[in-house]
Amino acid sequence: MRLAGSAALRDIALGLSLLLVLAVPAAAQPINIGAVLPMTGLAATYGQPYLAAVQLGIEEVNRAGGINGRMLEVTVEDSQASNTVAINAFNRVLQSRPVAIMGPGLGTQLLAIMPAFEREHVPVFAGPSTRRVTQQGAQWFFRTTSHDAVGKELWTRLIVEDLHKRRVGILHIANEWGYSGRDNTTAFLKSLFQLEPVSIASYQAGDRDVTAQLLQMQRDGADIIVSQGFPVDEALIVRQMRQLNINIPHIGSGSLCGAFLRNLVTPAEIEGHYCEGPAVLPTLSDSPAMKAFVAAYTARASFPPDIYATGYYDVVRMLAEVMKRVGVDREKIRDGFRNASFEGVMGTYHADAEGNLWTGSAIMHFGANGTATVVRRLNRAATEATVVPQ
Amino acid sequence: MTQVLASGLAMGCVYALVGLSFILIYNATHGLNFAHGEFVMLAGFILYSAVDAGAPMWLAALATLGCMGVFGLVFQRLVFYPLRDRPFLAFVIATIGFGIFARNLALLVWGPNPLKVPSFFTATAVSLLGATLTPEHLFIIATTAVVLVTQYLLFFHTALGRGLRATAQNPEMAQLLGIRQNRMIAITFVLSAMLAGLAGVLVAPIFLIDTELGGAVILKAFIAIIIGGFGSIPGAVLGGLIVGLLEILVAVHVSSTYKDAIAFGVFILVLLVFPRGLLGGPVEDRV
Repeated sequence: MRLAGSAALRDIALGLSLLLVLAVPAAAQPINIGAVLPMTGLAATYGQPYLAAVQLGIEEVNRAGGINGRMLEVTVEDSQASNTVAINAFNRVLQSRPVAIMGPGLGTQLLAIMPAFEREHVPVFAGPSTRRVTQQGAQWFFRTTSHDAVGKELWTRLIVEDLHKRRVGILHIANEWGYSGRDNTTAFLKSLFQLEPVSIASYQAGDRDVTAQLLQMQRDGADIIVSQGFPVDEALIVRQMRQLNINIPHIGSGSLCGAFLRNLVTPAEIEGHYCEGPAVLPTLSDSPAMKAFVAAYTARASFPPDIYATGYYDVVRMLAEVMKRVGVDREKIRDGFRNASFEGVMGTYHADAEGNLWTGSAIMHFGANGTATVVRRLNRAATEATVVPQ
Repeated sequence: MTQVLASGLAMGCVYALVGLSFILIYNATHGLNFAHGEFVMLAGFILYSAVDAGAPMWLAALATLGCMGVFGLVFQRLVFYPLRDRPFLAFVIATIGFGIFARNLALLVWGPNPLKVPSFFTATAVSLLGATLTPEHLFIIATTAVVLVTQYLLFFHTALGRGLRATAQNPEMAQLLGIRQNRMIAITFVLSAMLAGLAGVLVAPIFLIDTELGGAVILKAFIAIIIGGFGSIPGAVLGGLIVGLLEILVAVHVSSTYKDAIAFGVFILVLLVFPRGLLGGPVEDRV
């Protein structure tokens, strides 16, 4: 009898334990978000700032109670600056069964991992401006920023209509993204103004000396230079133009906006240059929400957020909103993104047919003492999207 | 054209300095230090820290060279010395491992954001022969010339230099003659690290400092020493200048896209015509 009583007590204890094991984690089990970002190597200047934005977004969502009581967590894998490493990193992140993945902002890496995320049916969010990324018919990719067909049309119009320049030199990094910038600029020059670039030069990722390319532009008689490269490259172009006394206008890609924010060029060096990006510099915004984000991000990263990092932050918060509404099923999340609009700190996000969540663009001009003014702007997202209040 | 030549010569001098420092270790130990690019990178970061601490550029540069000398000694004791009797491949692999370690350590200590240091000069450009030249380029060329002369005097007109050369040519015989082999090798590592450090100090104000700083120059420096003749000190200098001038002339007048491909093509051609490089010794048949 005593033995039987002990057995009954043991069974009850076992049953309760089993209930606890099954019930408690189900309620508290964190929701995993993957991040495949270049944390080391040539593109580390992108990965670590983007991860800071993702982590900040996740912390804020968790502080506000998470997703219906479940906290968010992030699993990070380093994609370096290599497509092969990116594919391996993506496969490793999949092991943690993420509901969605924040991908690298490099078009060439996204094209490399695209077959994998299309096969695995996992939503991927990233901010490359490489045009081709959203022209592959991918069903699971969302671009957090605008692409080159938007930005390069804007800078082509600025060059010819506002600055009255017609001899354009194009300097770009020799990768998928650089070619995207070159090809879109060339196409808009041709289609809008029947012009051809007078000089085109490229450099390899990791090259530190672009004096030869700049001197080639000068020799070819360019009266304006546009460039598309990593933040380090854009900063070097600005510095080396100054060193070589090349005094013609220069418009850098969004990386130059980032290089300025991250103190890679001095105010004196960047004075007179332009940068083109998906939106106005976060530090120029008057919005209280953006100001709060800039302050929180700067405290974490020690430099202000650029436009692309802001996109990652916004999309994490948009992901949280979508999951609160539709749950954590990957397909429902994807469909949620296709149909929803979201008011982020940068503006309104709404997916178009290709999966582009953001279609705005802006060009800033740097004045004395590091001041910047917006000289041309396009915000299709605000005019074309139907905003659904959250 | 003067601008193009000055820029090419300046980069060539940087390749020459890095190639020279690489060759010093090779000649003394027959070891290939594949972490040499990281020596350049570390010098850039140390320079930044010194400037950030408030030191003027000249003092920061001297402090960096001093730190690199100490670093060369530590590197020799920790990485080379324990493996000195092992097959040379062990040292090669150790240096590859050290390179990865150093890059990631730099990422942890100095962060992912590239860093910048001010120029040595207040002027951004100087006019010479009707061309606008950068003072940094002229400074690199002048400094390299001074270093080469100093090194020549050290190696050929001092007892220390004779000891270093004797150890490089025949370590056993040098030891029998009373030259302390380990001390000479340690001094070689110190000199080599200081030369690589000097290259880092010279390029840091014109480039930005990040973990890939060394990678940008080490590959070209390696091509330079092979074109010049592996093991030849004048060859490393000549090779550096050839690579620097070739890449900028090709980029400006032929194609910037294919400048590296063309440089490598020339490199292969040189090796076909001069299998031991331009200033290398005659080819020896292995039996």
